[in-house]
Amino acid sequence: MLWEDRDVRFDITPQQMKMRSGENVIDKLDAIEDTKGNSGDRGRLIITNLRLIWHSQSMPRVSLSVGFNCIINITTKTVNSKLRGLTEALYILTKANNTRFEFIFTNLVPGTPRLFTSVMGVYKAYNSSKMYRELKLRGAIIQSKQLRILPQEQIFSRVNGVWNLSSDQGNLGTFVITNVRLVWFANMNELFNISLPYLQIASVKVRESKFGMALVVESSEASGGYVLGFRIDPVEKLHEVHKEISALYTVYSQCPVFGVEFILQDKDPRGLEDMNMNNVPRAFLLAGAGQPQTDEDRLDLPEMDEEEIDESVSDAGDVLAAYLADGHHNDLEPVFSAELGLAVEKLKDGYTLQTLWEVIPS
Amino acid sequence: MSLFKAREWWGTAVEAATPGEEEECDAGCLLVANVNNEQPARDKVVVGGFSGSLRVFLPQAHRSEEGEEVSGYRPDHLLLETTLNYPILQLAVGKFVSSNSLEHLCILHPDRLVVCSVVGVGGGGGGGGQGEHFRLTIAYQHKLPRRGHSLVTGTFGGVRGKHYLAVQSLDGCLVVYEQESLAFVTFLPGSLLPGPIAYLPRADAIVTVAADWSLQCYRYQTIAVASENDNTTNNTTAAAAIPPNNNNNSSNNNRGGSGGRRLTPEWTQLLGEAAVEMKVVGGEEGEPVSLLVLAQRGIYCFKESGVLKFVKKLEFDPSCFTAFIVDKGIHICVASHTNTLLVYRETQLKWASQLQFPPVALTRADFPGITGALVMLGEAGQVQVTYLGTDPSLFVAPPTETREINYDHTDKELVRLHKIIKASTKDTGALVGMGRVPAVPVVLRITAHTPLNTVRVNVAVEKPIGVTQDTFVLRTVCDTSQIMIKFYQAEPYIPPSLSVTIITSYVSHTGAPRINTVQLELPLRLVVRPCTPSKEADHKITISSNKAAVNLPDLFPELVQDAGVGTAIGLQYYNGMEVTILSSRTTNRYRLQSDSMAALWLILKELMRRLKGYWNQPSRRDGEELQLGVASSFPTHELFFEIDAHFIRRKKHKELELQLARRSAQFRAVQRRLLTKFKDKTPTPLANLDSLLEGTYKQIHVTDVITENLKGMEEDGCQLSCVVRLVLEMTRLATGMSDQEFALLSAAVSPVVHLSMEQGWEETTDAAITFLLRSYSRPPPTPMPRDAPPTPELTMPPDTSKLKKHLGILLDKITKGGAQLSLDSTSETKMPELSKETVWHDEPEDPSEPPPPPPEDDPTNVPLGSRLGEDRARSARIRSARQGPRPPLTPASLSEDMPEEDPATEPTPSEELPDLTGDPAAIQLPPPTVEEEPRATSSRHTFTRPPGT
Repeated sequence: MLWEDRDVRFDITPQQMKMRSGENVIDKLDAIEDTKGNSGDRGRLIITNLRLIWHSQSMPRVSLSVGFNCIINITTKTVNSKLRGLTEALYILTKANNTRFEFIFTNLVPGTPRLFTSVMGVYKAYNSSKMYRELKLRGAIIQSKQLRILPQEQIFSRVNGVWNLSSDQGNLGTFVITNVRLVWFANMNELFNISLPYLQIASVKVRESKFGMALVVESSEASGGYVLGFRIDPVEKLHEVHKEISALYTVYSQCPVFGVEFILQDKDPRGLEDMNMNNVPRAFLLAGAGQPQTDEDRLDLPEMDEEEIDESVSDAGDVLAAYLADGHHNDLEPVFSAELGLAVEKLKDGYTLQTLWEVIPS
Repeated sequence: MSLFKAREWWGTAVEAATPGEEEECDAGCLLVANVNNEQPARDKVVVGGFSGSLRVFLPQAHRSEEGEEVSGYRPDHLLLETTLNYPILQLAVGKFVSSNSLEHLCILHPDRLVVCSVVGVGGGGGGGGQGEHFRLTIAYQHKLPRRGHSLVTGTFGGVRGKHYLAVQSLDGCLVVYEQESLAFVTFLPGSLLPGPIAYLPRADAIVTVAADWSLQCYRYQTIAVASENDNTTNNTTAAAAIPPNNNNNSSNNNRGGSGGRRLTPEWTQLLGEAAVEMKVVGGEEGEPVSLLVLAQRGIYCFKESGVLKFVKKLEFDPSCFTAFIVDKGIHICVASHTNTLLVYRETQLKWASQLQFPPVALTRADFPGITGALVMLGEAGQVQVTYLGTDPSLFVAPPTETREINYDHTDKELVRLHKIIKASTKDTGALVGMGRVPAVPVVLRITAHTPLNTVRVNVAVEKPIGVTQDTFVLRTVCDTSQIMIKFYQAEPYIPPSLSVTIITSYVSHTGAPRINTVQLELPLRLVVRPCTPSKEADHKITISSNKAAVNLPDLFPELVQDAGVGTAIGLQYYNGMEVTILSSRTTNRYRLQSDSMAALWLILKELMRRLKGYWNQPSRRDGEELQLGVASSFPTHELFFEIDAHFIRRKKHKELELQLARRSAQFRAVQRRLLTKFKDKTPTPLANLDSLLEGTYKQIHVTDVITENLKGMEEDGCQLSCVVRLVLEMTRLATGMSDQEFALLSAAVSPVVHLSMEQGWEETTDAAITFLLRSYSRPPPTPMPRDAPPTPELTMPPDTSKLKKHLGILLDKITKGGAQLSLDSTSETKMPELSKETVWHDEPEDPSEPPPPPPEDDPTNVPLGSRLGEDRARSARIRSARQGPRPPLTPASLSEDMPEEDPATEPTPSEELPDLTGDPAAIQLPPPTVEEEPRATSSRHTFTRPPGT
């Protein structure tokens, strides 16, 4: 179950800190302070293609993992850091499970924008590669009957004569099977298409339907839990396609192509030129040229003895509290306010807009 | 910043057509309408972008498996996504097709206007499941004659059941299309850059903002007639009149030449600021139509007739707005660039909310599950449907619990940091080869009775003594200001003087500039420390006294090493030079001995000062004044030795400078030759010029030697100064001359050895001595002997033999001949016995005294200094010496004049050095620790020495 990019977790275990398959380290910055929750503590920030991991240098169990999918926005902010004083810091607002968290990271090495360029660059790369990871319906993915392939995508096969059974009369279309996803598009209308990455497939089956034997692909709960039915004639071909898709699904859901491409411009920060290189943005995006990172910088995870974790010191609630952006509360549903003519959050009992508003002295 | 936050109900980010790039959107890129004519009607969000991507979303709440209504983006909310080939500037919806009365989508590209239909096909129940799909079919398109800027649609001319389109071009041309056909083209007067444009339905008029920041309203009929007039007179069709590549001038000429009616606005209103956006509200069911203009600093509301209804001035920078009518009141939502949304009912602020991003477009819409939602589009393509949060976010993150502090660790770190701070604090100088020297802190207290501005305090010290900061500018002195400075020995030479001059300059409140000078003596402990007395030394001076020899530990209580020995005391300078003072009870004599003559001076001076102080104490005063005499030979030989040493340094300096000049000249010559060689079109061999250049460059490193020599010269200067002072003092002791005579002598044989002057000590002193001698040797009747033309220019003598000879004669005459020095003509008459020796005439300096008649053969009355070829400072010194009592420049006299505004500078030096011997870290200099200072001040009794003592 992919959680790395979709969750914010605190004080994670070493297992959780390890890279999952397909995940790789893009940049690693020592001497980063988590100004919000662990001010005054020197730590390390690891940027992978799915998330940001921070852990304290002195106490490795003090750590956090922020998935890129949770990030609402990234900006810079002037903060007062315990270790650096007034300085420019990376400010990240996230939302996970209806709770908003704020994170502030400060680079303790002055004069280098690497923290900002790396994190923002990877976040941008993550955001612009959603097609690798998200189900898309009716997208602009087909151009003159050809799939617009993604930079890291390879087409394995193309199957004509696939009926989409979503509507009563059915639509004749084409399957395109790649190393990233399963694509179907209608022959009559390019705007009618489905792009389903293996990451979002819950199951692939062949079963009986009212249209006869059909290939049934279910999408994951997170992507909406759609049930897609396809009919391919003859049945042998259906089984052949089912076998192919099942095999690819097994392989690529285990080891997915996440599609986050980010090239660090200079790898070795200890070089002499680095003095100057530090002043220019360290990294830039290269679409189409990215290869997954080699193992040259293997993540040396902090040595941690699990037995030594002292559960009594801090409970999870306190750890969370430092990062909460909005307090513990869930947004209430919207109701129409005749006074403003706009939708407002449902008021708590005993309050009116008037009383709330007049709390603030005008 | 509001306490309330906008809550996201639904949101997504649109991507650019090319993957990996951010979308770019502007005000026109957001449209909320039922574009696919769905029944029952549901609003869709249509988003365009500059990359050409077009998307249609249907935001809605959906039921989760638990049956709860859940909002948020789902993949099936995207109904249509396609990439058009041109940037999308603006989107509009309306009945644009003549064949039916369905809503169509109109897309404005820079060079064309496309009207198309969005039709849903198949699927279950429309607008929902993944099975439904949509087709985008182009109904018709117009190629624009000019680059489009913005689009306005409406029932132009009052047509019913259909909408017409008007495109405003970048140069202010209005192209009107009556659906599929071009109606007319016209230029709006006063348009330089296009502003926002709106259509008033009931008045049937188009409103724009002209380049003069005025709102202009044109009736549609007037525009149509004016352009028709144009067309008929020119006998051309509108399209031909302004073909796509026609330029503005020709069409203007056409209009001008036609004499057609000039387009005049129905009404104008001056805004006085640039407009951001315009909206029209009302017009349904007899409601009055209002025109709302969002300007850079306010919101204006006008009636259709151009009458101003209200203005709301904004205190922030607005980005976009939307308006609607609730209960017959106009509600306005304004978004700012500071991520804030403000809701006004007319001019009254009703609500404020924080946003997650600054929107570029804002509109209000209803979706399944929410009524009155705000749809906003961000610059980078973020689309959000929000509602206003009412739960104030009073939340402040709790302070993080402090983790266990390791005190050992922090202590270590503190020590380490203290070391770094110590090492980097610039203080008391780097002392090469001297080890540790003490510093004396001095507090300058400046008191002003009336507030003074820009008081400048300068601290002047003589060379080997240094000061932490020598110039202070106090912006205002109101009552009392304190300055903390420290004196220390900066160079390892023997100091000739421990005097410090503090000069305070300021402008009084009457505007008169004032200067206040205070002198103070630094304690001896600053430069010497006690050591064991030595028996033998090269140089000895014996001072006789008419009183019993004082026990030396009583005289130098702070410098005693062994209190048991009363007759000998050893002192050591910080450069290692030792001086021993011996006292003899039987002969009432004191002996100073050292291996360096120069080292004796300061000790002698101090000894004399202390002896005088000792015997001046009331308990010991016995009516008889203390008389000191010299009982040893004059150190003339040592003086000559120092003069020679100094002179050799100067000579070497000259030589080195000459060498440098020659070498740099050679360097430049080689450079020039090389340059001509390089400039030459035909390359020639360098002929080793490059090696010559490099060699010469290396030779220029003689500058290092010069710097070194200068340092040596400084040291020798100090030594010379010491010895000169010593000789002068001994002369005074030996002859018992008056202060006036002594001043004259020390003016001639100056103890001040300047380093940086063109004229060196040797030649100036020689000139002064020669002059003095000549004035001695001349008989008095010879008038003005000193006016005999001296050497026109003082140059460095080839050797010092003349100077030594003159100096010897002078000292001889004074000590043995009993010659009295005087520059006062009056003294001549009083001392006739001296007339055989010398008569000294001078111009009277004091105007109150009647000047003696100048002799006839004295044609020049030039000042003394110029005659002697001396610098002005020197001559001033001589002049003041001649005058006897010094001019009233003392602070006391100043403060008498202006008591109410005089900042009396009261230096508070420590009489004694702080007793820091036990604390090596405290004595260690550099660097003085930060923490030692308060300790030093507290452990010492400071006393205020009034100025002038």
